[in-house]
Amino acid sequence: MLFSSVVFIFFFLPAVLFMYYVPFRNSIKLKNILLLFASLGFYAWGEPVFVLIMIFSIIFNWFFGLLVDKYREDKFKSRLVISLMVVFNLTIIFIFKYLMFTLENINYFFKTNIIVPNIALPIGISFFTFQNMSYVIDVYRKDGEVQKNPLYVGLYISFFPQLIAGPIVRYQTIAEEVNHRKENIEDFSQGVCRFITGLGKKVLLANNMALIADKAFAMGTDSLSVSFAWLGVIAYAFQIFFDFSGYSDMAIGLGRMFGFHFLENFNYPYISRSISEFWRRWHISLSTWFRDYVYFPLGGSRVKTKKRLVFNLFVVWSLTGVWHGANWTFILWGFLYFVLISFEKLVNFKDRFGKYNVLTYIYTMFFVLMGWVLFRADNISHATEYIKVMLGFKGTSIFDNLTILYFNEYKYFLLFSALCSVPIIKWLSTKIKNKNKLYSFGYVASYLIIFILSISYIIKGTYNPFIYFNF
Amino acid sequence: MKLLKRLEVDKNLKQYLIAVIFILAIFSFGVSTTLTKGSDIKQRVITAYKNGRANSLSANQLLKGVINEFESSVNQNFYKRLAFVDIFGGFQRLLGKNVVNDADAVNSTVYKMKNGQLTLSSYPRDLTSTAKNVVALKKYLESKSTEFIYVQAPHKVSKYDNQLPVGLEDYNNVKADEMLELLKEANIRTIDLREEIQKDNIVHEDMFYITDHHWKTPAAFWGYCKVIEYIDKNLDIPVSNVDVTTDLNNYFVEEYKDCFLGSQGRRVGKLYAGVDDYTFIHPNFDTSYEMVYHYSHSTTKEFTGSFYDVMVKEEYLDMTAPASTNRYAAYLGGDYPLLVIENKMIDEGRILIVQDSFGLPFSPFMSLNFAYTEVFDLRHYKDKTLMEYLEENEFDLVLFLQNANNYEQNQDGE
Repeated sequence: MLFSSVVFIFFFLPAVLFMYYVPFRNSIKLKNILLLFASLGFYAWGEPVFVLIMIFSIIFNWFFGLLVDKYREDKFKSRLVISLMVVFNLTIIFIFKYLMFTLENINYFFKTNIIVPNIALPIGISFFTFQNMSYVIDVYRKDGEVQKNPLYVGLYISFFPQLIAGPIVRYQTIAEEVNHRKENIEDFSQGVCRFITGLGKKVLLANNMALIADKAFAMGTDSLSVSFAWLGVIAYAFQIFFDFSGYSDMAIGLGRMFGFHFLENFNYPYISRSISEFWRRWHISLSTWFRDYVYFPLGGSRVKTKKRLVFNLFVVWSLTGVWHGANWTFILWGFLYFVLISFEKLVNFKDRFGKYNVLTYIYTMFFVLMGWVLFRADNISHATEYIKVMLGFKGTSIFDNLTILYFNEYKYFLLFSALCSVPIIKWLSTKIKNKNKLYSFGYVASYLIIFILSISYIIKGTYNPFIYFNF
Repeated sequence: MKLLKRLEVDKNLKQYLIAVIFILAIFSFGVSTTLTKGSDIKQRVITAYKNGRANSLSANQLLKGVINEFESSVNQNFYKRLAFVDIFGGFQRLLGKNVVNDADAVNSTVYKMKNGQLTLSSYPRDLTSTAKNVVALKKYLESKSTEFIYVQAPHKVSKYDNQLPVGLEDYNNVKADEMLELLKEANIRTIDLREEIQKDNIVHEDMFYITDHHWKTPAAFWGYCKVIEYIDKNLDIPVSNVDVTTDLNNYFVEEYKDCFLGSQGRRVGKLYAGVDDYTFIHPNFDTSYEMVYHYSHSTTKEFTGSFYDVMVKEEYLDMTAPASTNRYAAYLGGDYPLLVIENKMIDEGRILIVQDSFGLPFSPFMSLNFAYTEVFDLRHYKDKTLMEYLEENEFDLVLFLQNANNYEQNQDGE
């Protein structure tokens, strides 16, 4: 089930809210059970069979949590449990996400003939697997109380707002709130506003940018002009940002409606002036997950040698690339960031170049866009050819009618996307001292207009791609 | 007033108001949809389930099929759906958009031409095999001494004055040109109504609705006149009363204003490109018919009476019905696998018209000149092939009327 759908907004959500706030309002236990079953139903709506995989995974990780809590004083046993937990979770994700890719590449490189099974990828497996691991590790580290009740573990892992597209919620973030939370009208209202913001980003901005990006990346590179190639990748940069951050906004908003407080997942990444800064602003929940569960345990930046630092970065960024999908494009994408971040750390980028705002911005955005070409392309060959077109090395036309057409059609969406990528609205809001009737009217009207327009797009039945199928 | 004053200063209060409106909206529209269309949605879901069981789908496929059907029917039956489509269309107009995308991006993207008319996207297609089939059909008909004419209906995008926005291509006229070229090489009689429009100095856009891909009734009548006059002049088959039936003075011409939101308009709402007028033409002279509608292999219905009694579906002329009513279907009611029309005022002449939806306001007029007019739609007739049908039935003339939107790879002719 998608958030940006009639069934979710007008049937699922009202039904859950009603049950939560009316018959079950006085019992945290019943509320949690309601949310758990609603979440399982939400997932089963799109994956009627794979919901069993998720339930199976939840039960095992609940059990691992109990074990690690029981044996926490015994270093050997607790490490054994953690190791088994990691192997278990990575095995599940490996089978569903990476087995086919691995076998295909073994056959290709070693000229073998191993039968490659056709395995469908359960939506959200990367997210709920990481949350499963986060639960057990956080219990071990005493960052959260162990949950004796498997239903509450199930709720944490499968909670529908963040189940299929994140943010990756750390158990420590909401451990307390699972058992003790107090809903209030401020949180609820902020949640609604946040949900509407996210819905607008996804439906009005991301989906429209997708039309440009999909056209550019579907065209053969022999007929792709330089201008349309650039327009396509810029549109894709907007699409993936607003789709992902829009989903995160909706998740955070929905969480708030039920009294949960998730951490922010995006912080205007397209104002970054270094790749390191970009990754402090982009998909924060993923980068912090890898930082806390992989990078820091390896020693992080506080290691004795640069070689070890580079090694640690290599591990993290390889895993980051691989996490995004079973394709060489994602691996190369991760490797690109490994190279850039290593470079920045080794040359002390911020101190040395920090004062050159414009140049560092151009450097950052250039490589981010190149990265998005890799990310979006069907394969490395396609990405290479696309980049050649962008840089004028393919000999295609510089400018064409298609660029004129798409620019004209989507100029307002491009403009709004650019404006919403920077904190200008936030800045303007702080500058308005006299928040009078007009401001109040505008504030309320803006949200309602965004909501009504988003619903009109959903009901009319416009292009509504779901880009998390790799995750 | 106190509340308004507080709204100015209290951000929380503004957010409460938004939350209240949001909650009221999601509850009321969800409940309203359930109450007004719940039974329709339920019926569709049950049908999808039964069809899935009949097709022996796996449990997973069956469940997914039912879920998809539920989502689709909820969307299509959403309370005040048309109002939201209008809002959507109005927004597209405000943004100056000439390309309006759809979830079905390939078949349903709507373009607004510079003259304000709407059209759909088109794609290149190789018509060699389709043309081969038509040629084979012609050879077969020759062996039976049956005349054959291929009529190219005009396309909404003018071949001579392409009104599409810069960057958009029209492939339908190209496909029509290619098809006609291939047919002419095989010495097939063709009538290209696109060229006739040019010869008669008709303003191309006057022939078409703004919001629908079809030609207007007066255009269809004009097309009928062109074709019947050609047949009368060039073919040695019995054709009756041409002088009477081609004179518009012998018809009632009823005009209805702002009453028709066509197929393309229904995708984008009334506010995007407006609403069309509709003209209805029917004979003011005596007519008498017996007509059989073949809805499917086993389901037929007979009608007896005048042209109006048998050809006209009055529900589509009900001007109290919303503009989204398909006025174009006032003639015949829609596309059917087969129609058998007997004109009891005429003794001779038997023709078969193989048509698509452009034939709806065209074939009824053709029936005024022949004793028997059969109307065959290749898209819907599945009982047998066209060739098999022709083997079992004799005709003086077989006439293909096709618009370029509808070229299909597998038109039967072999």
